[in-house]
Amino acid sequence: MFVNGISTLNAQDISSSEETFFGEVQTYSSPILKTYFSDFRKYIKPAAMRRMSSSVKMGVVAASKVLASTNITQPDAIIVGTGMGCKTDSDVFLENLLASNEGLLSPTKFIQSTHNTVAGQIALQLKCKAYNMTFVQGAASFETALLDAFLQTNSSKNKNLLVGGVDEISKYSNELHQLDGQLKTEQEICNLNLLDYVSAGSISGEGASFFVVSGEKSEASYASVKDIETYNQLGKDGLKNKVLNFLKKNELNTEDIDVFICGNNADVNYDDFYHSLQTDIFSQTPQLYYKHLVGEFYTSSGFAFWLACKILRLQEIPEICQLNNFKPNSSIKTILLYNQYKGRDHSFILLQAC
Amino acid sequence: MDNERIVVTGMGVTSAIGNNVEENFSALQQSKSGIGKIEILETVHQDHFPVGEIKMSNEALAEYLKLPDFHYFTRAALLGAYAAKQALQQANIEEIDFQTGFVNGTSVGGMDVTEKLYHTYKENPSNFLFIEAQHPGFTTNKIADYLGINGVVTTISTACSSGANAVMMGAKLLQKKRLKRVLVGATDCLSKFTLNGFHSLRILSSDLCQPFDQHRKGLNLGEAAGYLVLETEEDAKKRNQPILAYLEGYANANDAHHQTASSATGEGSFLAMQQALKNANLNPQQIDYINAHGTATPNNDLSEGTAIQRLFQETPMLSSTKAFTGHTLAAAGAIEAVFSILSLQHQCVFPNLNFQTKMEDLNFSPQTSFQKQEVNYVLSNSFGFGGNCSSLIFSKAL
Repeated sequence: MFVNGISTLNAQDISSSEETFFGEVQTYSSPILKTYFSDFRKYIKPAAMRRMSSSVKMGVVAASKVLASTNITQPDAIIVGTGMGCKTDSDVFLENLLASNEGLLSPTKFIQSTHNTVAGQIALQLKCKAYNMTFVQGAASFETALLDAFLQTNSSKNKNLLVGGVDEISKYSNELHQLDGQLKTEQEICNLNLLDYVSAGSISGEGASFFVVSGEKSEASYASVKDIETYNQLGKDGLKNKVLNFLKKNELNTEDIDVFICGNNADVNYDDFYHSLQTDIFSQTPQLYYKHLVGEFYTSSGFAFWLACKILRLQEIPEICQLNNFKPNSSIKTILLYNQYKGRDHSFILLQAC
Repeated sequence: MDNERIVVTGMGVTSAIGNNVEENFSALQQSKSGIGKIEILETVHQDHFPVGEIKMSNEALAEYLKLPDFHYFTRAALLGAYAAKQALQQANIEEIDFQTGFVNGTSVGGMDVTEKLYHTYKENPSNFLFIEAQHPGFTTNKIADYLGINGVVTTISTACSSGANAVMMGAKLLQKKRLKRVLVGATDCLSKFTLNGFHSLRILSSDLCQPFDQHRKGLNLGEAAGYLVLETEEDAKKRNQPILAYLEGYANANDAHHQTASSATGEGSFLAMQQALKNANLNPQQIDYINAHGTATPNNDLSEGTAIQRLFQETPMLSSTKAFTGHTLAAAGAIEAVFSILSLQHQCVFPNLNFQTKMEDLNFSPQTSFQKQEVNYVLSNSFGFGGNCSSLIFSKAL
């Protein structure tokens, strides 16, 4: 499967040129990293935008951008991954319901609350009647959306599929996530020093990453996706075996991995999964991380996928993402992504230059 | 379909008309609806809206499943584990390995605990473990943990077509040789959130629902879980596992008309049915029975009926079983897949209860009684918010 178009919105300034990763790196002092992008009006009519929640807005814009960049008006499928869906609208409907003790409610927020609202709204905007799917499997939401696309491009080569991941910040969820150890409780956190905060939880983020993928290579192809695997649960020993098998299945050794991108999020209870590979089989491999830039959210790995595509295109790695001092060889051919959240939804994605 | 034929080797279901496949069939055969007064869900609408409620408390379900005291299962997870276990048992799957996957559908997942604890999470640290129940994957993970499935596990949430889409995704994973066997289906429990949500849309009926009736007033909600075990024909035969039915074809299309309402022409449902037939390599006249989505809302039944009329020169026998179970949202496509297979196994079609008057805009009426007859191919429809339309086609085991 080939990645023929890429687009991402998140806490970083992504709007810059084709030639660079991002503009000036955005730093935050709170553990909540809201999306930097604000120019929604450029892409969505005001009347339509009025009812849109932030995930719908982010999803629609990221989708519009990537379709425009590939000159595709009608994708052959719209496949979206989202961990929490339109959480804020769902919360508002529930709050109104509870406050009124199940009184008369406006249906607007209920209508927007379904998890497939983003995929549905993209279809509506494009008048696209094609296959439309939404995966909501925590940190494997984007990965299973990508897997669905991968299976489809395998049987029909000439189709252009729109696939993406999106999640929004919900104020109430963040409050709750400080209770159950998902979000760090330090009042001030400098995102760029994320890994220095040795405590439970991570920092919260939001964003949308959308891609046009196809079974056919185009002149504009960024990368080819060789394989994707997800595991709902793995122990650390199991993890190492699964990675090695994954590489073997694709006729690769650990030395063939030019860049290893991991989802380290500074959660003291779970970063060991990353460390177990980073200090072992990939200890000599250039290692990158990214959640200090965009925060942790269920589909933040969509940004890692974007980053990998961009690295293969530019043939360089962003310094700010480097975890160790190893630099890739002169030509970057193969990138492995690994992500998990709280020890669940482990995923490997293998990308290669094409 | 791609080369490999996909077969069903296990089924499990719990709904308002029974806690296993046999009980569900018996109720369908005897025209015994499960819709009635709300007893378990705590809501001010208890006396206003009849629902298809499963009369088993969470405690009873947990006891049956032998869960520890602090199990943190949502009701949808309890119902899901209960039904999924049946499916795996029937398919004789004792050892679960990484070749066994799980594709679950749910619309609101753990909303039952979210709405109960929303303002009280902070009061008691034992509530903290339910905070994660706010994302649907949590409910799926609970079921996966109970069954011991650790490999490919995912959740589909496309509102009321989730169950059908889970079947479709599972089939693709098998056809592309990503898995050897896959548990597919969906679960949804009743919640104040959905009851009040559908009420706010003014599409709940305060009477028993009447699918495809001229005077239909809206839907009755329900709760259910339904699961199938899918594998390739080759694998099932290799291990001498009886085949219950074949999954012949599937398709998903989008209505692209409105976030919640269906188009007058039923464009999305027309395309889903048409493409499922193409995928199964069948002509419309080969379909013997349609298990319709038929929610009994004015909008759905007209849109779906119009699409059926456009596609089928002569409408096959058709019924909606929603007047038995209520509209079980994500689970609908899954339990109706079970009902479609029962129709093939028992060579019969099920009644569309509460039907009285033919719709003026349609040229057909639904089947109103249980009837024995030859059934080779069944089409099952599921449509959801976001214009999401899915059709599955099952055929008789040889």
